[in-house]
Amino acid sequence: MNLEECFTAEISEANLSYLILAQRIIKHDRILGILQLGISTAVADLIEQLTPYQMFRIAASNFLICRFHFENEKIWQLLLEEATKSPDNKSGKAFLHSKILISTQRQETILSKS
Amino acid sequence: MNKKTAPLKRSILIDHHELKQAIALIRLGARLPMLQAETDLPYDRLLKLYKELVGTSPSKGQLPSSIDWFLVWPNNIHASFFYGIYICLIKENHINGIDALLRAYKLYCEEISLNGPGPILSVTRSWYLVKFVSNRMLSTDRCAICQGFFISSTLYISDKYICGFCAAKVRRKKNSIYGKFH
Repeated sequence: MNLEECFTAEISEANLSYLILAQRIIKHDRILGILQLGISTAVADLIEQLTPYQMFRIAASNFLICRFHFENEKIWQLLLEEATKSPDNKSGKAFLHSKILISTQRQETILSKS
Repeated sequence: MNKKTAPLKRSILIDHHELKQAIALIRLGARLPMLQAETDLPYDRLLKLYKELVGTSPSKGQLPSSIDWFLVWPNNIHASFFYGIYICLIKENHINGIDALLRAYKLYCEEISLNGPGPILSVTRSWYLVKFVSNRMLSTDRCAICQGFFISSTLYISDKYICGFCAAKVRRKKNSIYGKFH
């Protein structure tokens, strides 16, 4: 198996585990799931109803079906800043700042939809 | 509401629901005045419930209700973070009232203890925060530098709001240019 085939196999594997996880979260707690997964209520409805076979078919793809929750460069810088600190020296500042920016972005997407 | 007729009309289902809410609130550290405001349960029942769950009598006196508390450095960040979660929950799921507050507060506590410094905001404070914002005593403002939404005062004079994180950075730069004198 060459490297590209290997990647395709791994992508579909990741897709399938993502779908299974997403469905479990939504079934357990819908409201929390929508926030944690960063999806819309309509998509959450669809994912909730998927059968295992459908999930398997959807997952078999060359493309990842999930993507980053946030693509703001500033958020990534902050997360990196927090991650590179030693565990004893954590002030949590960059962590909190990134969290606020993430929720800001989420609010914006909600507002742009409505 | 007329308190004398209330017990007659009380539905068992609503009663059960309110009791569950009250239990969840007490577990998170809510005090009696807040429980009284949010549920229609009688005072003596709430008191009994509180004693059974916590083991001691509830502390007396006024609830901490200062607006300025939310504008000081670490508190403002925590309040902004909590309010962000709360707004997302409300706008997306069309749930409101105390349910949304409970969920948002639990999420806030989980998130902040997982990686951060631990919660500063108490349930009572978060409850007041939501009330203050809906009554326009506090508002959310956008930071001019990082574009994040933060809790700010409605009496803010300048039209350009800068959040605590970004303001700290600006100050640091200034100090490095002018030395330690302000």
